[in-house]
Amino acid sequence: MDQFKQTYFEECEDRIQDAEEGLSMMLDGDLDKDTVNRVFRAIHSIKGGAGAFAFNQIVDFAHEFETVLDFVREGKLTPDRDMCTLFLRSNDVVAEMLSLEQSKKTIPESIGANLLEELRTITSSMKGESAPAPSSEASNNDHPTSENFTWSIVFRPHEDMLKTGNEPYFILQALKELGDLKVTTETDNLPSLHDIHAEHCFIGWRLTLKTSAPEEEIREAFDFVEDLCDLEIAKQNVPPGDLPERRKAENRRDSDTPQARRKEDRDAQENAPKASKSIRVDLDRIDQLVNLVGEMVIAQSMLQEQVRWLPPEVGGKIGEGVEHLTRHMRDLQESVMAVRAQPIKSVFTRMPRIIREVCAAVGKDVRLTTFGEDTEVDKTVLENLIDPLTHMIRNSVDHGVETPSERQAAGKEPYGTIELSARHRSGRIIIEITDDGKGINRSAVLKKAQEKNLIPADHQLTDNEIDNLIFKPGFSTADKVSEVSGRGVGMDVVRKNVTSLGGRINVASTPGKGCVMTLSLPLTLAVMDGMVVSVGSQRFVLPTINIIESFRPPHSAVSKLSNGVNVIIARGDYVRLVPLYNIFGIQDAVLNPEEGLVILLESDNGEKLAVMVDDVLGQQQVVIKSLETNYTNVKGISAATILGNGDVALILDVPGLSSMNASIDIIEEYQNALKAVGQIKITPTKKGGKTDEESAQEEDNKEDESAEANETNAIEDNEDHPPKDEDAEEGKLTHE
Amino acid sequence: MSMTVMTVDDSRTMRDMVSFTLKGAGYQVLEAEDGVEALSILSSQKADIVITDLNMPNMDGITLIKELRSKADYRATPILMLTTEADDTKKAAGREAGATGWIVKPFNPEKLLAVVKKVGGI
Amino acid sequence: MSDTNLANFEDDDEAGLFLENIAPKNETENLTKNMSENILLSQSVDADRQYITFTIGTEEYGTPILTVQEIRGWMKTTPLPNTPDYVRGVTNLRGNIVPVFDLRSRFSGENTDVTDRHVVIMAEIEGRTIGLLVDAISDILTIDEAKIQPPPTTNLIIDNQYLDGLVASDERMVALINVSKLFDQDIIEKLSKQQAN
Repeated sequence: MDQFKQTYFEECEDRIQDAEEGLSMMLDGDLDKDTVNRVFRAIHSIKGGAGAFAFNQIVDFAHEFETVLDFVREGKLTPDRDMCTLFLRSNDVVAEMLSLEQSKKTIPESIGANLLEELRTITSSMKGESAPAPSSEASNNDHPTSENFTWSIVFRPHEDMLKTGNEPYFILQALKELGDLKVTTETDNLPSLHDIHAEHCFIGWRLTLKTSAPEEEIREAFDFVEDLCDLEIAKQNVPPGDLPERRKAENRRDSDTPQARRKEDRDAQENAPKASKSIRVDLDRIDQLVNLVGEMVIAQSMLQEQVRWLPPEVGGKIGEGVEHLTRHMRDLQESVMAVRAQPIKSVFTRMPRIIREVCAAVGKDVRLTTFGEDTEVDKTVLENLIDPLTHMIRNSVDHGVETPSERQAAGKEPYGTIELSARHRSGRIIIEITDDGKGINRSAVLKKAQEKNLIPADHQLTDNEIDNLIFKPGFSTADKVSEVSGRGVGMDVVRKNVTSLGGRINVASTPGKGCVMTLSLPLTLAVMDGMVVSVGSQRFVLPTINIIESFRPPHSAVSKLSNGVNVIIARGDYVRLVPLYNIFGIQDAVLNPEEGLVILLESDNGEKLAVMVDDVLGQQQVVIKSLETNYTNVKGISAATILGNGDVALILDVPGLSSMNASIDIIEEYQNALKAVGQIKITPTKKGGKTDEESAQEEDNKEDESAEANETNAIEDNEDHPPKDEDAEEGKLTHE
Repeated sequence: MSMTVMTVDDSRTMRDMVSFTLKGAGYQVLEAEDGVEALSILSSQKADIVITDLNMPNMDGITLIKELRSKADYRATPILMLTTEADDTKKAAGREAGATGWIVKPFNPEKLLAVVKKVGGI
Repeated sequence: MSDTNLANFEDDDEAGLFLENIAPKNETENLTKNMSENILLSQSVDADRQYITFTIGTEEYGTPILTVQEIRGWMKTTPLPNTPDYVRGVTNLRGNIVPVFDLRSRFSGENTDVTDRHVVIMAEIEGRTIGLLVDAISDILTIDEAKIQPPPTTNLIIDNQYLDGLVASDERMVALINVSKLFDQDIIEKLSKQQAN
């Protein structure tokens, strides 16, 4: 049974959402038959399954709920907003009961008790006005009989019994299994051969059955034909007064009016094309496909690499073919990923319930609006999005939106509004949660962060930096851990979850006006665009999404702060410079920053970082392969991939890199290296190919340096927060 | 030759359970999510018995039964409907449409097999 | 090892063929014969009592044959930064990223000086595939559990706690290692962290 339970719970999740959507539409006044039907079907279906697993509390509750919904469905009851809210809450109760059952917990009696009463009240008031009470299940009669009785049975099917697919022969067979059966066929009604109709039944039977089975079991054999035959069942050898009531059912067949029939046909036709052509495919199969395509992407890059070495007369045509292949591969890969993509709706539709729960717990009133529900994102990303998003929404209601009285005092509507939106932007999905609450109390946040030693006491932070302190581990804005947002996790866990998906999170607050939390996530976790760089004999892949630009710095752009952090001036800003050869202990790398390349990166949490590499080898799509499948995570490395030549290259984890500190002074290191090989003079390299403008820019940087060096003192202690580039968004260039 | 039973239900749980029970007893099973899909499958494959839910999107059970009864191949095929309670109005509607019998949900596997056997004869 | 040789390893998935490339000619013949006999015998013997044995220097070690997926010649690995010395890096095993551990280094702290003759045993330990760099494969033994002696305080380079026991075979001493203990996830993570800090 357990395997069905799993299916059942999965299915119920969809059903609950269905019902929720329908109910939300009803709440907005849409009482269309389809809408109500959808809700009814959902609850009905949940009840049906619950019965099969003997989840009796769910059955009982869903039954009451369904009964009321049925009145609505039949147009006997028109629910107002309050009643729709009652329905929504009832739906939440069903969801909660299901989740308790799923985690194998007992459902406390108290859950939904009030709602159940309310639903019952509606039902009884309805019953007073109309419809008879729902028929109750036939009570079990307890006649344990082991004694054999002889029954005489007269069974005369009506002419049209066969039309219902009932086969008299099988009924006789079923009786035979109960005991000793003697059959006499009555052919009195058989018409002349001329009048015989193959699909009509003209014969009847007289049966004598000797059995220990009770009468119910005998009758059960005729369950489906009671109304399609003349049936007499009588126990022999009993006093006449005890004869069972002779049952004779009239076969009423007030046939369908032609109109009615035609309407139904039309309905059927109208409905038919609406059925979406879809099949349910096991996720494993899709993943297998994704993996295969991944392998093909690798094979194709392998081909691409080999073609380069062919002489032009051969290589030309093949190269062209490979070009085509590459394009198709990308299409294929996108199509396959699209199969895994699902609208974010399934996550968004969970949120109204969360909001209602929190509102009820903290006495607030919040309305939710959603945008971009059809935005699609990879299923795995979607699944991993549920927890962080739930937590962020909880947080917005609990800490962001004020109580109705506070809001009125602030001249706002008594109810708060949370807007949840999703959209695609440059290969990522952007999710925004906007509330019109009180915003972040910066002085309180700053004070708390200082108390908790999350930042040095004399630290200067921008407003945005203060806002984002709420994501720091160990930070919790609630004075006491509230029951709602509490649950043992803070926003730091949200950030951790998001970061582990290759995403970033940011909050921007306007005091008194509210907050915007922005989540940015990759659309897929299977492939990404990367830039292959070399460090010594090793190759690494940098996610293209993190790259702002790469440049060859002048010697003077590199300096070291008194706290030992190497920095580089990039776009007029001091950015921490991490020489990869050093943090990764690579021996044969370029040591002179002027000969190598510096790549300016923006980490997933918005921080900037520059890494020093030997060279950029090219850009390509790479298939992401986890290191953790067979090994464990490695600091600074997010995953691995397989390059065209079959070698494994490591994909760099930009946020991880930003927390790794070089143990050396880049300049000193280089000069020491020079000394070791006999004081070779530093020669400006020609490889750079800089335009005059760039050189001029560099000259400017040099001139600015002394001025900026003074600023350096101010930021010396700022280990974790290199100066921010205020123009980060505008200034971002994609590196092609 | 084993008999083929089609289960029509928009609930995957139900389909799985019906299907699992019947397959275990040696029946072949076809599955459809609603009446429309059932009709489309049955136009190319033959079922000896049809078990259908009543409440379904696109095409409900009653319509499906009527549709099937209007086809020569399914004029006398046993069609069982799934109802939740001993709901007499539903039964009457099903009967009127030409249903052979009904199975009351929730059912246990033995009950399901017994009913299928009763109408299918094997 | 040249690229062509590497290709050979990838083409042939048969242990016997690998061994031809690995061991000197005459040894290989004995070994393959020995192995196939053992494998034939093994039809009637519980496979879980069979061990594949390999050498590191002059010492011989064994690991249950059921954990062994395949044996390959030394392949190029990509070093993993800030990991313990015995982690030689990761390699591409038919599209899977597999870490290769240097057993000599794990036991003695001394890195193996890799040549064409060295082999990597691909083993599956607790659902993970890992490569074990050893000097050479030597034998397949069916070991009677009763004959396994508890590990004594020996002068083997390996720490006692990683041994399941010792067994004598043809006057040789084979140390049965417990690979999952040796490369326990927690230990690896701990060591990796130390290294990174």
